[in-house]
Amino acid sequence: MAPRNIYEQQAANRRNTLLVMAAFVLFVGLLGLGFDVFMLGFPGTEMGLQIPIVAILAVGFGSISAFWSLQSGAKSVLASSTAVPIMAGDPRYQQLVNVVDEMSIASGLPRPALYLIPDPDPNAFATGKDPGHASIAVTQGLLDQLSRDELQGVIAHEMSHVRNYDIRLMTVVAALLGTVALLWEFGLRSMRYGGVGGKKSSSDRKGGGNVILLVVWLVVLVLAPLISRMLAMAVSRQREYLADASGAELTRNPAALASALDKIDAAIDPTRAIKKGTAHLCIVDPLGAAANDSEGFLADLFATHPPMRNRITLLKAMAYQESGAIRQP
Amino acid sequence: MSIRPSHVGTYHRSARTSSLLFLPSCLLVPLLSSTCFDYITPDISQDTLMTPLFLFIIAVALLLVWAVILYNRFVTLRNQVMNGWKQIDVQLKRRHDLIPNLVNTVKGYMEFEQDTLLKVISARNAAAAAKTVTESAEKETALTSALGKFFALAENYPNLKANENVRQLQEELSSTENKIGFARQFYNDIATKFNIALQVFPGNLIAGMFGFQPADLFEVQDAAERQVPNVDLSLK
Repeated sequence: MAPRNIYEQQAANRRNTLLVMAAFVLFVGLLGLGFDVFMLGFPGTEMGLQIPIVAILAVGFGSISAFWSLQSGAKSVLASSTAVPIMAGDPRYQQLVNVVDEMSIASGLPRPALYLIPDPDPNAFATGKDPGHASIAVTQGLLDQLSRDELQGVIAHEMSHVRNYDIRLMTVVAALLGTVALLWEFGLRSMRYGGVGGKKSSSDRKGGGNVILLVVWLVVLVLAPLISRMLAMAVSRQREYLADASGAELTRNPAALASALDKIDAAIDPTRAIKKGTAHLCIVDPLGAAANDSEGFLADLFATHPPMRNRITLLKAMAYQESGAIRQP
Repeated sequence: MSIRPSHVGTYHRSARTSSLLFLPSCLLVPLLSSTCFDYITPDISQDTLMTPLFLFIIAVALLLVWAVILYNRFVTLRNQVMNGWKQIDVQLKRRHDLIPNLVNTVKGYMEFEQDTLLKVISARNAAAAAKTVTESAEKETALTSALGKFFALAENYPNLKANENVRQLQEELSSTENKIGFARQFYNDIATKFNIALQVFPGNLIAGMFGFQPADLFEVQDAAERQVPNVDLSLK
């Protein structure tokens, strides 16, 4: 069920990105259609034409924002987490730049752009459209608290996200989540203030035939934030395990990533610079949500990250296997 | 039943005129005509006579397309392998450039370790002067161990470790060491991929026809490096 190797993962990510974008356009279109029917009472009905103007506009707007989310979603994700670019010549970040170089050599990918998030809590994420247009952002806390090998493990984990095209799906989801949140607010307000008069006139004209559509529209409106959250989370859990494993394959040092995760887990402060909408991109959940600590159907729906204990145990098992192989004569 | 043969006939004609452009539609033709063979009336027997010829042409075309795809894949992979090898050279060159800098910087601090520094320098010069691949691998291994000894000794000099310049150089050198290792790792991965593509059936037929040679893998040259270090964990 879950993809097992990076080629399946890449294909699944490209496919899912398209699916998410299509679902978004459909969703926005449906919102627009509801607006047409209930707020405007289908303009043009008098002439015998029914042109869902708002729906058409909404589909156009949805397509543009879906395209925009792919093209420059990374920029807005980075901007929303107050990330600043790191220059290659800066001696303070020499080690980070070197480690990223090492990992881009090990993975055979171009070097991603580097960003620093001025936040004392250790965390990191990768974003971008594809490996050629990727960015990796790390917090100041990550640089301060991790050793060189641990930093290497974290960067390898992020490079795996880049290589697997996880970044494309995650970035599009993050950018569209922001748009959905905006629309939701807009929709609620229009219901509360402007909606009453329009609704009356439409029900006068149409009678009860549109009640079902109204119910569907209301349900969509109410559930939109929940659905979009669940979407972001569902796409995120399995891929963390895969990125851990393929990151360890790059460094051939799973123990270092395990101890990095240990340290990041021990830092209990939330990463304040990273907003809720981009939490699913990070190596560990910046909000420290409780659902992450368990497994099962509900946890799978609501957690963005797998339980930290499981991830560390799996990595340590890999390390043990390796040292076991070396110990044999 | 009277319609089907005439259908086959039209498919046939359209396929003949554009057999190269529309390969998928060509593929339908033999299937259709063979299943409908019994129904074909004498007035289109001319077309049925062409069927074996078509089958042959299609088979040859498919084979050609397949060979071209495989050949291009081999060329792409071979270029990646060569690029992987160049990447190792780039990093080795960088190491050779860094070492004189390091030695000059630490000279003043480590006057009692002239011997070690000389060893590093001569190992570096030998590695830089290496001509063949095997010679280079051998000399680079020697350089790695000389550098390892030097860094172990440097631990005894707190002043040295405190020097910002030295710290930076040391970071650069250890990063370059890592990069050499990762470049070799990547080279081995890509070369293995190339070799597997060359050796599995039926790729090996095309590879043999065009004389593709499998790439050499990077191996540990020094027998001593293969040995597992003995670690004494007994608390004395």
